[in-house]
Amino acid sequence: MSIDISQFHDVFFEESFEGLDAMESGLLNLEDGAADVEEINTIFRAAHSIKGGAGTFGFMNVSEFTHKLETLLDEMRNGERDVTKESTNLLLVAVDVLREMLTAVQQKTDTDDGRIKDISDQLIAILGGDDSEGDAEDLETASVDDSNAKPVGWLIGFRPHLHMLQTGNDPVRMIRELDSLGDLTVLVEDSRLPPFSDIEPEDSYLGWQLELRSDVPKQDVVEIFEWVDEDCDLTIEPLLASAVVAEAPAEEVEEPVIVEAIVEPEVDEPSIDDEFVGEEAEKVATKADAKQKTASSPAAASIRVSTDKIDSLINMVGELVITQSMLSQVGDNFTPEMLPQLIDGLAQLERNTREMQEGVMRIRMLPISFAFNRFPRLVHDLTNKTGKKVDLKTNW
Amino acid sequence: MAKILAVDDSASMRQMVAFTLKGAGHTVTDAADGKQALDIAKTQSFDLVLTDVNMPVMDGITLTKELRALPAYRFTPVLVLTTEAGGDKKSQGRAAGATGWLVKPFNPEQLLATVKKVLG
Repeated sequence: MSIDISQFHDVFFEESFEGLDAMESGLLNLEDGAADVEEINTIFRAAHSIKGGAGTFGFMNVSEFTHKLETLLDEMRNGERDVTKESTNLLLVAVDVLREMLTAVQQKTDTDDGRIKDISDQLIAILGGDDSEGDAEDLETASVDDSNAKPVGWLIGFRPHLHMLQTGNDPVRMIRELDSLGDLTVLVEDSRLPPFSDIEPEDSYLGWQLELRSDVPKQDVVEIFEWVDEDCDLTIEPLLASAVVAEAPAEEVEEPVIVEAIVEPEVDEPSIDDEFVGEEAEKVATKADAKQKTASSPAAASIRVSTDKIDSLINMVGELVITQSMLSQVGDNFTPEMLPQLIDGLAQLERNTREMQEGVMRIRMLPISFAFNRFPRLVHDLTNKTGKKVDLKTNW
Repeated sequence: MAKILAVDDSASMRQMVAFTLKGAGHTVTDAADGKQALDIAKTQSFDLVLTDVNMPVMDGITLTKELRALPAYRFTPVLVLTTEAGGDKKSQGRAAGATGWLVKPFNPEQLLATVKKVLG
């Protein structure tokens, strides 16, 4: 089954722009010295959601850029890094860049790669030049597998620890999955099974020797046990043509690093449609300003309306329908005596129409914060530019 | 088919997960944070819980711990959806009693494969 995930893009954009607004106002609060851990957490979570969503929906450049912001924010919330004016300013600019990137993706226009690279470099610099791309190395060590041997399958020793069932992992599931990979012979070890009266039903006492005849790579076998590799004793040995299941060696697997590293599904899924071309920056710096202007004022394509307002509109439409049918009845066989009825009906129609008009207008109205929330950022940028201290107070 | 509780503070992720799982015939209930999920979990039973880690009000690790403390959820598979590929969140998830994890970004096919792996 293939699912078209582009149908979720609109919601993703909507929540991402909301997240960016939340990040911006949070960052402005940070600067005012009113920072608390929850504030930083909120900013972090917004970045985290954007990163996760962007990755899921295929906007890898957005995801990668947000990753840097997120790392910086993570260090701040863990107390590993002080909240300085310099870093909040950079984060604010990064939020702007992110907004531009998302707008470009949404409207399928070009991004200003020069500016993205510039801010991205600044983020990397502030993070200490560590681009935290360490995962790739792990993967390389992982791929150094024992592929020189030509086994006919795998000999697996699997002894769950007593508590394994309590993690929601069922050995039967793993055995069934192994079975799906090839020809499986299962041998149960019941040596740990206590006398019947001592059996705890929630503990797992059994172990298994599994002989899998199949040409699948070791990684496929390792993956089946990836969630439980710390909750069991596991050995995976190549099965040579002459080996028999009963004499399986009970050694530990010697490369636990591989067990951990192999299973990073994040890395093997770069299946994404490139909306932008990577980091070949530095050539479009001048086109920037004009483009930014269009990008920074995206007309909101959708607004959120409370269900109360919609329900009341639906009621009004109901009343309108009643009025309409009443009027059409009057009109069908109109006689002069029915004039008062007609006048009543028309008055009711007028009321219905007015109420509906008000209701519809209310739907389109936005909280005043929509306009006023922009001022703190404006003032912030102005104070930075002019070097003057401004205290913005809004009263009404 | 299974009853699944899907927890994520991102509406787009919730929609994607719910749509995918419903398409495979599962019944999906969703929640926007751990607290909401826990309240729902106390009134209904589920065959599988899928939870994001970073969420407001109550995060996914705390949710997993709270669920494991409920008799009805001692053995229920709980998968954490995490963007952290490093071992830290995995070991946190494990310590909290999670069954396994699915690293974001994932696509619908990977989600279904993982769910199938747990539910058999």
